[in-house]
Amino acid sequence: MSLLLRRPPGREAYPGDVFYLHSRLLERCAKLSDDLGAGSMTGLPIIETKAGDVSAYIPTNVISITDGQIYLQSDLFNANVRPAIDVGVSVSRVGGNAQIKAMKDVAGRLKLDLAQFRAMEAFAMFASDLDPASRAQLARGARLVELLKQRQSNPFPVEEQVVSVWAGTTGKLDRIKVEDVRTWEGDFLGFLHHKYQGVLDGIRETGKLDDDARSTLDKAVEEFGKEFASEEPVDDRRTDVGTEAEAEDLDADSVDQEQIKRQRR
Amino acid sequence: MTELSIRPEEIRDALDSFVQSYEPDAASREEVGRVIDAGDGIAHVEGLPSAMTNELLQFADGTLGIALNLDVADIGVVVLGDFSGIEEGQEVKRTGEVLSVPVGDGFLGRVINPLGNPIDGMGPIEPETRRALELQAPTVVQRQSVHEPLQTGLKAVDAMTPIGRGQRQLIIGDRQTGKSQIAVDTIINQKRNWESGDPKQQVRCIYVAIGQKGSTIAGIRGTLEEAGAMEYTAIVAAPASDAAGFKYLAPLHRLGHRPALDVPGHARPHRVRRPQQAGRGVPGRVAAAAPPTGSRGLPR
Repeated sequence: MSLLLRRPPGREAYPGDVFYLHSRLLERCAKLSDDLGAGSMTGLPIIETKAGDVSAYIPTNVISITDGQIYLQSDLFNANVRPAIDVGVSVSRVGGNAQIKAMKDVAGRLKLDLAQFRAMEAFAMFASDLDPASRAQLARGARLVELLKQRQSNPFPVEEQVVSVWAGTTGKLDRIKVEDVRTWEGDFLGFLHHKYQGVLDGIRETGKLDDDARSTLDKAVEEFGKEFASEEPVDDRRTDVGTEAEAEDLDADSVDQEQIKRQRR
Repeated sequence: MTELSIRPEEIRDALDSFVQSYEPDAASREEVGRVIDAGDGIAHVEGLPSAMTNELLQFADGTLGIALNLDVADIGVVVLGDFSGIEEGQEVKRTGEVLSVPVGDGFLGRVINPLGNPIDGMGPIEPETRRALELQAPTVVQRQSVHEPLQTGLKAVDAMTPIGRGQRQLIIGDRQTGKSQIAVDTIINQKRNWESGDPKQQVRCIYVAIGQKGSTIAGIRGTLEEAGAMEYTAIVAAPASDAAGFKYLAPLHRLGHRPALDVPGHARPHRVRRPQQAGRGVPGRVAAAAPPTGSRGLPR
């Protein structure tokens, strides 16, 4: 339109004032002061990139205007990580102020674990032998990545998110098979709703995850672990490779062995 | 014999007072402009020396346009709507109004075009008021820092890159990576807030689809309706087939649409814009929907 109006084109034939247009638009998103009613307007502009290039003209402009970005990658999408959010590049400059306390508590660890996982993952591609600590980190990371996957149009209430992330970062999932993590999560949340609704309500109402709640959750995980294992016994046996007790030799006389006798004709 | 003397001062005074008290007839004065050329949704108009920027102008067939470019001799007008009826030499009138859009809670649950007219075939909408499209952003004094969470319902977002109310968070990625889905999930997740009935919690959502396929927009509406989220959501649609002027207006429209800012509560817009529609770069852009093999030159 700018060109049709015979304005001189700017960089890449965009209008010369395209930055102003975008900033003017987005600057109107605000959180108003209490005197003015404390209303707010949040903006989620969406930009499509070509071949993942975030350093193009318009993306860099808008990244600099906004308070953060969520970067989606087609590689992740194709690797079945959905939503395909690249947590390394995505940032929120408002950060923890916009989280309830419980989430802030559990998410700090999540970021750390995932960052370690990514560093380790690249390394582990070449090294076949890893010490147990690194292997544990890899296992934890894989489960966290799995935990962050979510079906579309299936948002989680905040208290369920807190519990999920808590379970992931405190290692409750380390013994669950990666493929079963989401089943475990869904079933566990169902279990909580059924038996420990009070914990969930507590998180939602106070916004905090206190020690009481943590110990209740610990207990719930333990209790639930038995049920889950009994539902899918395959699970435990596979993740417990190497931890099974050594089998003892049977007594000779308890074995009813047949003897092969040579028969004479 | 009466003395007949002529006193020039008296006559001059009489003439002066007559001239000064003269008022032109009540006939209204109106500026009239003429179309110089029209095409591709843009018309150039000469005349109308007192037109304002962003003023609505009316063409002879009733179509409206916005005066965007005020040059020395002519005005660049973006035609809103069908421009096939606009011809060279037609008269153009001022309306004296700056472009505004109707706003109000009546728009929730509806699909409208950037002028605020419903396009979902569900009858007219009763607006509460009208708001100018280009408003000044709140000043520093009027703002406070963002501190309340806006839950998206996505673990990866809420835990790692939280979004606060009043924040601007860009969603960026290649095509087909689920960008819109994040926005749609966020809208759906506001259902519990809406049902709480607490105006401090409720979030009104506006989904702005610029240059998208009509079928995509219908699909999104279907998803939202299924999730019961249309109750508190309005969709502003400027499909790919719309005139360039509509696509230009669409993102502005949602910003006019924030009655909730005046009362406690939250308006929460979503804007979908693709780079090729970004700003006014509709024609002649390099990052066009052109084949990725090469960039196009300027159309001429």
